[in-house]
Amino acid sequence: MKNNRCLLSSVCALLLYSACTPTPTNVSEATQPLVIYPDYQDITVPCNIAPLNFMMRDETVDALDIQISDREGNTLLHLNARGRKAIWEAEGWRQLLSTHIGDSLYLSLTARSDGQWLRYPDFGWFISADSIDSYLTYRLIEPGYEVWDNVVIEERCTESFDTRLLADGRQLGNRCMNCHTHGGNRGQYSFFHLRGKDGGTLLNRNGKLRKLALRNSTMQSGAVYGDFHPSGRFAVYSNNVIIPAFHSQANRRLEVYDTTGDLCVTDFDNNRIDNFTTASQLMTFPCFSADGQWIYYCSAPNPYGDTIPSANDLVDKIQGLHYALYRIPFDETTGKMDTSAPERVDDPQLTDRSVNFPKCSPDGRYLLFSLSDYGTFPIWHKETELCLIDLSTGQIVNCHTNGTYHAWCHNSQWIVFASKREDGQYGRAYYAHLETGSSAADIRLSKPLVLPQADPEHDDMNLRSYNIPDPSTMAMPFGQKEVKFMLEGTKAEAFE
Amino acid sequence: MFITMQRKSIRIAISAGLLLLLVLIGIPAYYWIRYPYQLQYAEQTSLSTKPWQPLLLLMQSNPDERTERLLAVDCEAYHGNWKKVQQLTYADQGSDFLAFYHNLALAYQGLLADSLMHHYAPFERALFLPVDETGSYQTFLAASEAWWAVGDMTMAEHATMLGLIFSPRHTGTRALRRLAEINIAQGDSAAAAKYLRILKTCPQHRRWAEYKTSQLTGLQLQDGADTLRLSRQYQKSLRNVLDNNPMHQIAHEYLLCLDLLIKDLESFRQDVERYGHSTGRVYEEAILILMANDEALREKWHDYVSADTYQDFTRFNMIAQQNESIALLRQFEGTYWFYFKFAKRNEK
Repeated sequence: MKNNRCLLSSVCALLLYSACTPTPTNVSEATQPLVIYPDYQDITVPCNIAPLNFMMRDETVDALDIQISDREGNTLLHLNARGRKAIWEAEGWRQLLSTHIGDSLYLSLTARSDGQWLRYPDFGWFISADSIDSYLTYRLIEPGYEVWDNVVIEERCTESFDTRLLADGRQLGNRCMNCHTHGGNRGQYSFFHLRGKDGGTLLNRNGKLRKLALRNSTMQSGAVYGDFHPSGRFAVYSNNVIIPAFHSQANRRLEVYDTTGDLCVTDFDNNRIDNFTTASQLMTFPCFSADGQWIYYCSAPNPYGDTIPSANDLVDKIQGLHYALYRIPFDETTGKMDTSAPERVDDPQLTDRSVNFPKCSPDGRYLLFSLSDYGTFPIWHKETELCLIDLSTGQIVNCHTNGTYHAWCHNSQWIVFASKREDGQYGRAYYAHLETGSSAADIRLSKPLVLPQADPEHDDMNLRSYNIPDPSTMAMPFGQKEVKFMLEGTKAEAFE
Repeated sequence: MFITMQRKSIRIAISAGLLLLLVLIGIPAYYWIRYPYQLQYAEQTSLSTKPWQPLLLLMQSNPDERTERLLAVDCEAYHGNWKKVQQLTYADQGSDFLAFYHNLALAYQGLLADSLMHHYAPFERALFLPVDETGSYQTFLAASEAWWAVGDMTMAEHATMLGLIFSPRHTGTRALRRLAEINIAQGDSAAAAKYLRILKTCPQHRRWAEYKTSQLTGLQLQDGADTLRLSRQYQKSLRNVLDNNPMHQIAHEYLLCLDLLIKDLESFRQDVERYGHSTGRVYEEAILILMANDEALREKWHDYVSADTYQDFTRFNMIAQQNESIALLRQFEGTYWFYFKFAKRNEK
C-alpha cells in the first residue's frame, strides 16, 4: 500500500513537471540572427516530407516556443518544449502539410536563454504541391580515402524516419560497395557493385536479382559509374582506373582522378557488352537521355595522348584536366552506340572548368550537371556548382548551388544531391525544388533543405557521409539477406 | 539453536558480500594496475561518457603484455614525453612500429641526424608508417603523429581519419581531438567545430572542447601553394612543407634522413642545395659517399665533414676493399656507410 502511494506520487510529480514546460513571459526582441540547424528558414517544403525537426545552435537555450500560422495569422501548430530542439509530432505534421498544399506558412520562434525569452524574426515555409520520391538510398561511408570499413547501403523512407539496410559491409566480408543507382523513373530497376572475391554487379529488375560480371577483355576495369536505359534492358557504364591523391592546401583534402576512362553499354537480356574505347580521351559519368536515344558523358583529353599514364605521371597534371560534356546516339534496336562523331553539348567557352555527373530529367526537358574548376571528383571541390541545360534550347543556367552526385525525382520537379557544405568533410543529402519561369533565365533551384532526421543533432554526431543519394518511388524488393545470398550463393554471369 | 543459525547466516552473508566486493573492486583494479596504457588507449579509442567505461572496454578486449609495451610507447608519444619514448624504444630491434617512434622521439629532440643509424632502420618505414590496407588503427593513429610533427596537415588528417574509422567503435577522443587540432591549425573552423561538438558530449573533454571552440572565432583558412601527391610520395610532401615553411626543422630533418634511408643520394644532394642542412653525423657520412664519385666536391671535403669522420671513412673503405664484412659490422654497424652498403629491402 505504501509502495503504491510512492509510485503514484512519483508519476504525478513527473506529469506535473512535464506539464509545466516554461511559456514565454517578458519577451524581448532578439538582437542576433536566428541560427538553427538544419537551416530550414525560408524554404520550399515538399508536401510529403518527414517532419522538419531542427534545433537552435545556441547551446544556452533551454526552452522553445514555436507557432506555425497561416497567411491570416491563424495558429495551425504550436510547439512548446524544454531544451533547444524542435521535434514535431508526426501525425500533426502530416496533417499540417496535407491541408496546406500550395500555402505559405509562417513560423514564429521564441527561445529562452539564460532566463530571458527572446523573439526571433519570423521565417516562412512554402508547401509545394510537388512531392519528393518516397524513398532514398545512399551509401553511408566514412571519408576515409582508399580504404573503408563497414560500408552500408541504406534505404530511407523520406516521409518518415524509417530506414533499413539493403547491404551491410560487415555481413559481406567488409567488401567495398559502389553506390546503388535506380532506373526506370520509378525505381523498378536498380544496380550496385559489390567488389572483391565472388563480387559482381547486383542487378534488380522488377524484383528479380542477378549477379553480373560486367567486364570483357577490352575493358581496363569493371563497370563503375552507370545509368539505366528507360527500357531497363540496357545500361551504360564507364570503366575507370581510379587513383586518389591528396592536396596540400588547407581544406581541399582529397582529389580522385582517372588514368583511364572508357564507356560500355551492357545488354542485360543477351549478356553482351558494346565498348567505346579510346586511349586519347578520359571518359566518365555516362547517362541516358530520358527517351533513351542519346548517351551523355564527360570527357577530357588524355595529356599523354594514346599512352595510358601512370598514377605518378598524371598527378601533376590534374589541375589542367577539364572535362566537357558530349553526347552520342544510341540505337535501342541494335544495342549499339554510334561513336563516330561525339557532339559537344556544353559551352565550348568553358575551357577552364570541368563538367561532371550529367543527369537527364525524367521528362526529358533538362540535363543537370555539376561544374567545378577541374578534374572528375566534384564532391570535394567547394566551388562546385549545379548547372542546368534546357535541352530544347541548349541554354545553360548556373543554379549557383554547391552540390553534386545529384538525381531527379520522378516528377522532374525535385532534385536530390550531396554536398559537404556544412563542414567540408561529411556529405549530406539535400533536396531542392526546380523553379521555372517564362524563360530559361528564370530557372533556379530553391534553397536546399537537408534530409530531416528524427533527432536534429544526428548530423552533428554522425561520422559518415551520405554518398550518391538516389531517389525512388518504391521500396527496393530486396534486403541484406538477399544480397548476402547473391554474394555467397551465386556465380556471376559472364558478359562478352 | 535458532540464534546460532541466524548468526551463522549473517556471517555467511557478510563473507559473501565481502567476496563480491573484492571481486568487483579487485578485478578492475588488477586491470588498472597491470595494463595502464591499454586502459588509456581504450579511453582514447572510444567516446566514453562515464569514467568506468574505458575499464569495461579494456576488460572485454583481452589485454596482453606485448600490446601493453607497444601502447606504452604510443601513449607516451601522444602525451609528448619524447625522452621516455626514446628509452622505451631503444632496446628493441626489428619492429617497424618501435623504430618509427624512436626516430620521431629523436626528431623532436633535434637528435635524429646524429642517431639515425643507431637503431633498426627499415627504409622509409623508419620515418613513415604506411597508411593503406596493410595497416591497423594503431599504426594509422601512430602514422598521424609523424605527419603532425612534420606539419603536413592533410596527410595527418588522412591518417587520423583512418585511425578513427578502423578503431573498434569507429570513434575515439584521441582521433577527434587531433582532427579538431588539425583543422584549427589549417584555419578550417567549420570542420573543427564538427569534432568539438562531439567531444563536448564527453565530460573529460568538455572543458578542452569549449576552450577550443572559443578559439574558432576569427579563424582564417591558411593560404599556400597547392600540391597534389599520392599517399606514398613522402619526399614530395616534405618538400611542399619546406617550400611553404623553410624553417620547419623536423620536416627538414625528415626529408634529408628519408633521402638517405631510401638511398636516394641524388635527391639528398638536391635537397641539401635547396634547403641546406644542419649538423649531423649521418649527413657527413652521406656527403662522403657523394664525394667518392665527385672529385670537385672531394677537394672541398673540409667544408662539409670533420676530420674524424673523414678518417673513419678512409678506414671503412680500406676494410671494405679487403672484404672483411665482420670487421665492418663490428666497427661500422652504426654508420650510414654500412647501411648504404648492406641494407636490402625485405620485399615480403
